[in-house]
Amino acid sequence: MTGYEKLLLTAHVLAAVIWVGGSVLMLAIGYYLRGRDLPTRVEYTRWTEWLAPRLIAPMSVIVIIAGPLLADRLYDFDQLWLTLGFIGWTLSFLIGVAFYPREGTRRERLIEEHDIRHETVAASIDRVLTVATIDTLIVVLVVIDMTTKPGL
Amino acid sequence: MYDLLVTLHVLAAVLWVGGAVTLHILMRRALKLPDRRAQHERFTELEWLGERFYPLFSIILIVAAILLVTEEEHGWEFGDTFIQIGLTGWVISFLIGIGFYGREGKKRAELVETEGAESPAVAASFRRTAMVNSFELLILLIVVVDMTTKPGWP
Repeated sequence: MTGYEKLLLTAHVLAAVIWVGGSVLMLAIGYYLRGRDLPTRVEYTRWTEWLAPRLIAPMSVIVIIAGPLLADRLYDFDQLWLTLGFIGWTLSFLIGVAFYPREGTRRERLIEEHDIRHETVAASIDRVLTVATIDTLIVVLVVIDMTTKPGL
Repeated sequence: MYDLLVTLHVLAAVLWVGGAVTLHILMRRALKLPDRRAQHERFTELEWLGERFYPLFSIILIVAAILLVTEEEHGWEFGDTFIQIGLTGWVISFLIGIGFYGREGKKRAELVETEGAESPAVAASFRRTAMVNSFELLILLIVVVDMTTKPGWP
């Protein structure tokens, strides 16, 4: 492996570690706080919505830039494990751009219209937790796929 | 067996290091809260999670790693540079875990009892914990780079 390939691999792995590990941690906090009062859950969800575009999104971009650049030099793009990785990344990307920001905006509007303790706000937080569980499961499965490389 | 061990090792590393980076950022954010009571609540909650998750992942990681090295088919040995660097990093993190976090947590709990959660000494303890955690994170990230690039390995 050349120095350039090692650099790409390091960037890819470090970004994946921070992205996936961070997602699991934020999900764990979400479940941990599930029994708590709604203002606490809303505050925490705001924290994750603050952190995701600043940490998780840039890491996922680094993963998808470094990954294919590396694969181009070392593997064939039609290999099953790479296809699965691309599918997983795309699904997570679509969830990231299409669900979280809209749900966040909708929840803030609900808080303004009703109250932070309103049941629709609780439903919104539960929805985020459910979608985040699916999203996190997808990226964890991609890590397993990238580690075991089925079809290689 | 190899696939299982390497998956366990990698997943444990991902959850441990990636989670620790995120937890650290959230802890730093908690320290910026103007209300000392809220700062105490948030930091303690995050710390509680960290204390329960990371020792477990660190143990899974090291057990899987040792089993991977002792599997002879890959030719890895404990004398390999990248493995020695990894083991050193793990040991340093382990020592910080048992030597600092536990004691600091106990000391802080006593401070909260005697001086209250809003005491400047409690806030200083949080800052100390975050600083030591920065150092530990740096070591863990270096170990990830070491394990990825495997210096000394052909």
